[in-house]
Amino acid sequence: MPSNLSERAIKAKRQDKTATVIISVIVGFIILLLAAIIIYILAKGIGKAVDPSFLTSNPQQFKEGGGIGPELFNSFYLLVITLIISFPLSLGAAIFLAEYAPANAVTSGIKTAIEVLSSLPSIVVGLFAFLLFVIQMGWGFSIASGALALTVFNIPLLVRTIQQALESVPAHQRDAGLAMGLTRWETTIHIILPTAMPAIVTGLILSAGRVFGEAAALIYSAGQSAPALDFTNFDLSSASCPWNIWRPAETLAVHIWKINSEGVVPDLEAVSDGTAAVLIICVLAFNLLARFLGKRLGKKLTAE
Amino acid sequence: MQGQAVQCPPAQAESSEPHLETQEYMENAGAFTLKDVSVSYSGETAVAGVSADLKAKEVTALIGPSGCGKSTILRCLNRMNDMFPGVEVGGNILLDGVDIVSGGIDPITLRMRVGMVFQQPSVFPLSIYDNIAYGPRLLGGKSQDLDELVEDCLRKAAIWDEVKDELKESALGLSGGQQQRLCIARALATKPEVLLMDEPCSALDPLSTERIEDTILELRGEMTFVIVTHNMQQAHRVSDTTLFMLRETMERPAELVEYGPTDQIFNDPKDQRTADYLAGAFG
Repeated sequence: MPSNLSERAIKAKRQDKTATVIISVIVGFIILLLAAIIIYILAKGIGKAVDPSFLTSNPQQFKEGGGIGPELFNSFYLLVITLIISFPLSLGAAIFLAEYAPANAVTSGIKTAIEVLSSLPSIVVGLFAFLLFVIQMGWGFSIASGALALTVFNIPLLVRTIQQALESVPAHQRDAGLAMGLTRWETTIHIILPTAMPAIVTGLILSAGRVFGEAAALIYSAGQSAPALDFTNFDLSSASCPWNIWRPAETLAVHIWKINSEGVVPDLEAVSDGTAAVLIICVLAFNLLARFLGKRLGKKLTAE
Repeated sequence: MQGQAVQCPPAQAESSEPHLETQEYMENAGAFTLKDVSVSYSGETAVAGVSADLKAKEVTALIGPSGCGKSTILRCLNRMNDMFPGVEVGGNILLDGVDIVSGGIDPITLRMRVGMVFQQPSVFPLSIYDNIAYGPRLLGGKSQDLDELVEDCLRKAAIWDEVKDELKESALGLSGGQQQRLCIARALATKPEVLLMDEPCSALDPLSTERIEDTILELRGEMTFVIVTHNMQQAHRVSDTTLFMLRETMERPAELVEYGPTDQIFNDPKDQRTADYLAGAFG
């Protein structure tokens, strides 16, 4: 018996070691690949990305030395508009699904629809937005069209993260609220929502990172041109007014696609590399911000 | 008992401590009468034929093995079962003569009168002060009254001395036992006539358990307590009346085997099944 036992123990130990090695190698490979991509992009574009004139000046059509000022602004502005539209919608839908929805066919139908929406290729979303907003509604290539396209793209992701955040609040918190004589709405707003807030904020910012880097859904909705912006212009109907949501607005991601597919400027590779570096720095910043804010809110809730 | 408010008629009350001595503390308020109560989940009857009187201002313990329906009955008393789809309650449950099963009172009002403390301490992610002030604030309490109320509730729940200097700190920083006493204080803040407790000490250490039992014994006489517990000694220590419930087989719904004064149930049970259970539980 004892020899048998130790034989089994040795075998189990060997298996454990092998599995650990294999998993470590796979993880190492993935990290290496990721790091290589990020380092490559940063190394090629960092020179441009830290150059203030590149970040602020207008792009050039034919000669070298163009910047990405409008694209940078457009990316952030479009993101803000998208979140203003998609966050309240997603929050409402998620609260309904997590707190109110009865377990019936309609609810599971809604859940399936959201799943399907989240797996739609973004170019399909973009073309849908082109047909509906740009053509049918007559809005043309505009921030409004682009923001709505991104909303379609963003809602499923946000609904799911918010719903999960709400559902992870322990049931006894809900019971406690109701047992105090609060209505379901009061319980949701004053107890469930604050408890879930760190996870919701993290999810919101991560979705912002995804929206920020989106290109395909925008090519045919927000358009591929970036009119020069004049920050002293507050005429909301003017194409050069930055806040005008009816003007076309090429974003960073679309800019990369555009100059690589049809750009003719002599320094297009440098511009493209620089833009890519700026984009990836922004997305990284979103991720770090998400972690930081999530942790901080969590700490505030649970006391130090 | 201390119960400063208990004996005061409402008219006199206004002069001394206005916000605590409302008619909610009237004598004999908070008595439950159960008449042939049954509960079924999606058509399957889990508990049937429960009839009992839960006397006002006394402590009633519900005991019995797991799955005997004691928590189910408890959750009928403030209609917390409403939240589960497919739950149906039969029979009559009268709170001071008003049937709460047939909807003589809406659940929100009922739960203000019948507070509840759960097995898991369920403090809100707010400050200690706000945990208590939350309910009264919704009822429109003024802030200077609130300070007094918060202190009073925390004192009654025997936690004031430990937290008085950190009322603005998050309640989540407290220990499990402190959190549970905070939950009791919170439940007291809406001035309920009845406090339901669903195994309030099962997640706590012996010292915290003792303090909660002391709180119950102190507040007894001011309000009605109905407590579900697995702990026989606890039932013996705190309760005036004991209900013993049992589900003998899964084919038949759980039932109330017997109920009566706690001393009688523990020392001289009428039913052999009660005697066997108590012997087993003690032995």
